[in-house]
Amino acid sequence: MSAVAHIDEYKTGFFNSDEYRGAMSWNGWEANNLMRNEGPGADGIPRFSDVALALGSIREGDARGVAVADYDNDGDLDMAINHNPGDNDILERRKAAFFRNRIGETRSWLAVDLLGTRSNRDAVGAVVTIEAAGERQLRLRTAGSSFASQHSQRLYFGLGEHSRVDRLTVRWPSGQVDEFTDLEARRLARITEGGGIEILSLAGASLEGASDAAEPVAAEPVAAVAAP
Amino acid sequence: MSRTRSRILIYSLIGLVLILLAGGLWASRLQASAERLASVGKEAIALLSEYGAALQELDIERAVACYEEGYANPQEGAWIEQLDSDRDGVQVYSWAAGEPGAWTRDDVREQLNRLLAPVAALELGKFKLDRVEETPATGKAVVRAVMWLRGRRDDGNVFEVQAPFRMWIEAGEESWKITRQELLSGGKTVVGRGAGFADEAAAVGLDFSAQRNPMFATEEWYPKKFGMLKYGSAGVSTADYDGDGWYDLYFADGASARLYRNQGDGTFADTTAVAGLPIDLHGINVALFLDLDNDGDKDLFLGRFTGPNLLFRNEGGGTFTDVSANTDLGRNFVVVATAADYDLDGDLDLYIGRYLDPRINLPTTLFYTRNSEGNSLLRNDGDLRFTDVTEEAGVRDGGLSLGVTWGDYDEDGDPDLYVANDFGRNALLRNEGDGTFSDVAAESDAIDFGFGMSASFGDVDNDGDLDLYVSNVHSGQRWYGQATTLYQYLINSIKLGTILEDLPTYREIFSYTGGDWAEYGDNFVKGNSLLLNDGGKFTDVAEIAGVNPFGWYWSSTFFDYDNDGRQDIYAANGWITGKSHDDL
Repeated sequence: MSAVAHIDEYKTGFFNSDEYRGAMSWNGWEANNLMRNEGPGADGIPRFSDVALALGSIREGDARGVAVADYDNDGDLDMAINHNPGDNDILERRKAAFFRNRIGETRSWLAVDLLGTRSNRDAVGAVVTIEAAGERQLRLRTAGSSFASQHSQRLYFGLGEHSRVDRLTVRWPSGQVDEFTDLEARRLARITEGGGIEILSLAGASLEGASDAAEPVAAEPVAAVAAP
Repeated sequence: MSRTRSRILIYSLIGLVLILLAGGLWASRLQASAERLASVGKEAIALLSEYGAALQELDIERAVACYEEGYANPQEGAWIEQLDSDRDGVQVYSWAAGEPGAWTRDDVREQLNRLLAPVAALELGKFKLDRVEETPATGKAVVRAVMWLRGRRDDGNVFEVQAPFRMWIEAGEESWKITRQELLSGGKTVVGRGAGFADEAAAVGLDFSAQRNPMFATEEWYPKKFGMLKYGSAGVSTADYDGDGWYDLYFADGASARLYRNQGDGTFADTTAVAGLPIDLHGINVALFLDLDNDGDKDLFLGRFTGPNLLFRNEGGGTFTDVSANTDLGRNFVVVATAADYDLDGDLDLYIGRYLDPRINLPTTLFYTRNSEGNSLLRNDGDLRFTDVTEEAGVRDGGLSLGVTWGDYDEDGDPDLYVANDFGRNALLRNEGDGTFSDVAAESDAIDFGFGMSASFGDVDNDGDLDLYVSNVHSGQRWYGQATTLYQYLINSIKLGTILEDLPTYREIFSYTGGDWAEYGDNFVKGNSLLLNDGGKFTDVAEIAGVNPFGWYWSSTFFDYDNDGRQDIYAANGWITGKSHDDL
């Protein structure tokens, strides 16, 4: 096949026919990539390494949608993947994949759930920032992104070896800003617009109340710690 | 006729003839160089395929035979793998060239022996041709190619190598050979145990497998013009639809979409029927779980390619009621959807992305297409009723949308929209705060001309603003798009008599690229983009960051999988349509 032939066949639509393509695949049978952020280079731009094969999250499939969430409530994000049925009947390639993460749980984390009052109840559009040991991180609450996918609305922050979050700020779509300080890691913070916060533990199999409460910076009442 | 007028006419005619002659010469030169590019590309691929196959077989003599017999490189150094990091059982090495010296085929043999010594077996050995850099004379070329190995070492670890080279290649008596090479920067070897993630779909009861949309086989929906459309679809969504603290899953599908409830004991169960959702409804491409009536549970929007979109009210207790009849959510050609409160009135509005009608339309050009069926903005008016405000908001777009998402990139308090389009440019629709939007993709440098198939906002460099990651195609035949090829399209349009139809497209591209017109072709298959936000202007750093791998990427997203405080990226790849592993 030549580039010139390709051009000639474009307008007629022949280029997208099975006959034209023959045995050729539109992609080169590459696999999914898990690109690990190795931190910024000297120019401030983060550098990445593809660790999909090395960590076992590779699969020869025909992937489309991906939905990321902590499906096993162990404090790290897992991946569910839908595939394209394609033209063939190869079942292995059409099957959904579910990659359970066994790496993230070895480090510290904080999960955040939001409940809008003046803002939309799902708090979509809210931005949560945290500071831990001088480092800042930001998460956006979304509903629909990537390709035809929806990810966890509960937000996850990786904390490495840190056991506390110094400051957590929620910027709600309504313009309301809520701020909390000194939160314990490996917890779920459930925050209601206007300042209420519950600190819960994600105990793998069930959600149970924990004894740690976070002090809000503003003189807002702190909701009592409660088990659902 | 006055003398002046006739003189003007004659000069005009002479000018026209000259332009035609020059144009013809230009065209035939272009034709010649395009043909040379194509034939060199073909030869380079043949040579690189042979080299890759030899490596895959661990047949070093066969690999060495890809170099010319009298191979003599005055300036070549050993390929050295330097350990960059070692954590979570993964070692990352970067490649560097050692002290340069004169190399012969024996040195190449020794180098390949060193490289492959720890290897037990390769499951993949190939080269991707990235660029044809020069074609100085017939039978000679300089190309850039990436060596790609994947396999298992004697110590049981799996490993992957990607290392870019510049190669000087020449026609030999029987086949083309490498006459010189240079290791370029950016090469990497990643080694690990292959543990950390495991596909547990079967073990946890996610027994879903995708099916094609049966409507595409009917007379009504047969995609006569754009048959590859039948490979689309297959979204997936997660939400805690029953409010028990465990995230559930919904697999969109061409024939039988399914809801799986997370039972909290490490397993999922198919609850589609119990929940009151459709069992065998064709053309469901995307699902969004949203609290659209602000009553504390997740309602469900289903976007469809072949039929009306649907809305289900969550009744609590894990069941839904179809309330689609109460409102008009539009229909057909829907592939993606996203929600936000764009008018900040306290409820979630819907933005729906569409593709083209594959029965009657082809993408107008391979690299710049605007003939979609149009996107829609549906304003939430309460009571699960919506009004289509697309026209007044100015968000129809017209590209073949495969990635739509909201994010306040300019931090002015309202959500903006990013729209990633297949076959051409993306849109950044800035929310003006008065119910209207302006496309500022060009002035914000977020236009991204690639084959957009996914869009996500996230702060990847922890500087407090929203960056973008966009999936595109990074083809092993990126050289296709080189400048000569783009001019070829133009000439081809003239030859085929479609220039009048195509001219607005070329003019529009020119309006965005200006003097960089010739580089346009280099950009549309360069792979995924990582657009770093700096005060509302974006810079694509994907190449430097190393996040534009080869492949056809669909869903991609930021997430910190290893909880180290830095956002990583997962990118799903797919478009397997044939047995051959050489991509288009």
